[in-house]
Amino acid sequence: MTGTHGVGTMTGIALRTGWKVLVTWVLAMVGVMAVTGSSIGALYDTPEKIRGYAASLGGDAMAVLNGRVAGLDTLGGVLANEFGFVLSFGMPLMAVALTSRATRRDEEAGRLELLLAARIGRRAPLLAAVLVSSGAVLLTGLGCGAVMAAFGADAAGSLLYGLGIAALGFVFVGVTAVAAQVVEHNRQVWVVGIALTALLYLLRGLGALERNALLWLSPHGWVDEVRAFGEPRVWPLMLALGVGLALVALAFWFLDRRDVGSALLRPRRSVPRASAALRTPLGLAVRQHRGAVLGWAVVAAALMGVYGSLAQEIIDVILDNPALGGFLGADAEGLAEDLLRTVMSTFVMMLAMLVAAFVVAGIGSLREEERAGRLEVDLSAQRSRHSWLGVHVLVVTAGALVVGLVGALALGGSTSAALGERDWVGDVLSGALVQVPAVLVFVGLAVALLGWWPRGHLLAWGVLAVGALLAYLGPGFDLPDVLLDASPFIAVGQDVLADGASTPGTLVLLSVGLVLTVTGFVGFRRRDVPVP
Amino acid sequence: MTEQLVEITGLRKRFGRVQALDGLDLSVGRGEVHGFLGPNGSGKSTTLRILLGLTRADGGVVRLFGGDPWKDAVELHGSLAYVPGDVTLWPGLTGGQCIDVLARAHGRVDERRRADLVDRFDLDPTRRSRDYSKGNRQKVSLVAALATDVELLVLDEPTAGLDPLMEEVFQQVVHERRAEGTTVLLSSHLLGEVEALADRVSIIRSGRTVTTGTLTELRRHTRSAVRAVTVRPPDLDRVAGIQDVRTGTDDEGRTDVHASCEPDAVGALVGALHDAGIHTLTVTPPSLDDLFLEAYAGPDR
Repeated sequence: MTGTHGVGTMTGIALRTGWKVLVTWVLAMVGVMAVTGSSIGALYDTPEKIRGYAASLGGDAMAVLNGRVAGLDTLGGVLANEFGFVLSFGMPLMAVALTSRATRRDEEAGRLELLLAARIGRRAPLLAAVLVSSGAVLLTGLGCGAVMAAFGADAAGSLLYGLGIAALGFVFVGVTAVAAQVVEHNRQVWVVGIALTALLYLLRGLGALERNALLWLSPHGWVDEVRAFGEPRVWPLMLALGVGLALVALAFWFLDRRDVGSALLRPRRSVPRASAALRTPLGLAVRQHRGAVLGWAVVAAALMGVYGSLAQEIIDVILDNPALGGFLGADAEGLAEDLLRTVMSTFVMMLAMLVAAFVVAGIGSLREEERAGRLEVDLSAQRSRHSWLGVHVLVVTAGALVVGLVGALALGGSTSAALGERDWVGDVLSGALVQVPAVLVFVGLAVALLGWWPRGHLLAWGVLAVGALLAYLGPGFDLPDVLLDASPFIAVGQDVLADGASTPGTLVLLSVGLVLTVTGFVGFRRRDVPVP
Repeated sequence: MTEQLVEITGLRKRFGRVQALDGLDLSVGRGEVHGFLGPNGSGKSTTLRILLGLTRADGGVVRLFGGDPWKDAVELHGSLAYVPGDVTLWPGLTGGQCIDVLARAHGRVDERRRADLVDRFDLDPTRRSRDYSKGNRQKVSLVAALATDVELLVLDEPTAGLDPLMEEVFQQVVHERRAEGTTVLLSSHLLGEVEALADRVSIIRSGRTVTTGTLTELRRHTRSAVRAVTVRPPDLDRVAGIQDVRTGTDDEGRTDVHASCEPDAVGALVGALHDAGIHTLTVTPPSLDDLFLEAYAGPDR
């Protein structure tokens, strides 16, 4: 290929400026696999228990989330299934992150222009980005495979599964490389990457559930069809590799047909004046957050809609479970509904986690206002700090309610549709209402950090991750109640659809949320602006 | 005495181990264009942020319109508009929308002036701000601030990224606003801009005010360079206020004299040279460049 002079230099630059991000991604993915391996290895330590694993799953139900993982009666298959969700989103996002930062991000910042003016060929930066990202996804796949083999999974299967992980990542390296040529801003590359990840994930889920051709439209499906721990076959791997290479080739074809700094899609023009609403602080804040609200609401609706549509399958699984059959007896239907209610409570809890993530991201975006200098401009006008922060917190909180409401309606509606009997919307809504104080704690936490330690915003994500993990995995691992109650999502009450709110938990969470929020406002009034 | 809109004395601010401001003084009288000069990193932006109540001072006195900018920020901001040195505007809004949002935030917008400025700065208000070049982004901030009816304009390196034509437009607009009685605090490190616009200047370095005054006053403090060739060696010991004297003898036995001389001593020096029989004489008045270089690069107090 011509025009690739200096690809070594560019690879060096990509590694020198991005090795921390790269190593973090690889270690995080392999680390999650290691945690999965150690916990699953301890829980399923005999062949009998492993054989029981498949029965403990929802069968068709789980296929929507993780695809149809082959060889669920082997340790490798169990690990692959447990890792499925992290894999489905982790690998694509890793590929987007690593590829975009060395292509469109550097081009937008003008760094590529500077380098291309030196002895660097026009194609070298893209080639270097693809090489580095591909190396990282391959490293991740091999690392995950090695960890699986180390925990006792079949070695050949582990290697093949690891290559499957890498192949999924490579397809998205190609996707990102193309997106970086098509759109002009790094933010838009991310939007394309995330949207395609979600879309292809849903396609795989629907294809796996219905066992139809939709499966083959998604790279997630190709990786499943390698069947590393069933009857392995290599050609789906080749398919993924081929598509990835074709996408990379397409990216180069686009690259040769555009100017440095520009994109295939030209930016559109828009209105020259701001509407009356946009000129108010509230209108501006709504405008700034509405894209995020819309995006998160779509995700919440899709996820909750899929969960709700599984209600009938879940009941079937419960009724079919031979371990339960003996106890259920004549009142089997009623008991199954009680159990379904518990499962629905878990779905509502996951919705609350999603909404909390929206809140942390939304308040976190205010840091970007500060870094970009817009906060300074706003405050140099006749805006008090309390009014500025108040309006944004109000809009984010209202946005959280919208996302939660949409998710709850989707869950309740799809459950009612799937079961076709009684109305679940009311139950789900009241359950979702119980989770509101848990979300408000994260409003408070994010605001407090913004006011007192703006550089420490990641801590809010850390607390959310710990709280979510405790609530999600804690009951299964038999953790003590004290530890479980430390998670806001459990403290509001377990099994919120059946038992309702825990009064002390709700009161504590509301007080904590309020105190943190007030503290944050006080800190925000007192601190320097901007904190870089 | 004219009313002081900005009065800063002994201002101090520390960021971690860095002493950003170390006893800075600045005063801006009503109706003047005040040039605020200093090298990069000398504390100009920090001073302006403290003046706007964005950053809290560690010590010293800051008065803006006679009030405390930290406590009464919102009230005081009603009478000023600010153009920050480095701002990324709302990427999804068009330039025109950004102007409206900013201008609304600044206060009362003069619609006629807004339209006039968009036109004069040759700005396309239908493009999204993320698609603008640096210069065009800067124009958006400038139009928004200059279109509002305020008493004080605080401009932090406002012409960074503007081409010379636009720089010219900017200077015209500032002249017009000054004629209407608006006070301007202009932070800059562009000598020509300050020379063209400022009534008074303050030069700071390492967080301290090095010198302040009108340009004429500042010129008075700098030395003229004198070079002469005289028939006989001149008697320079009786002349006060000259420095850096170097003398030599040329091929024809005449005396070659170099010296630097305070403004008040030029007459006495020329007198002494005349007594020695002047063959050639050049007196070079202080240039602004020298003045700034001296202030920028000179030793700390």
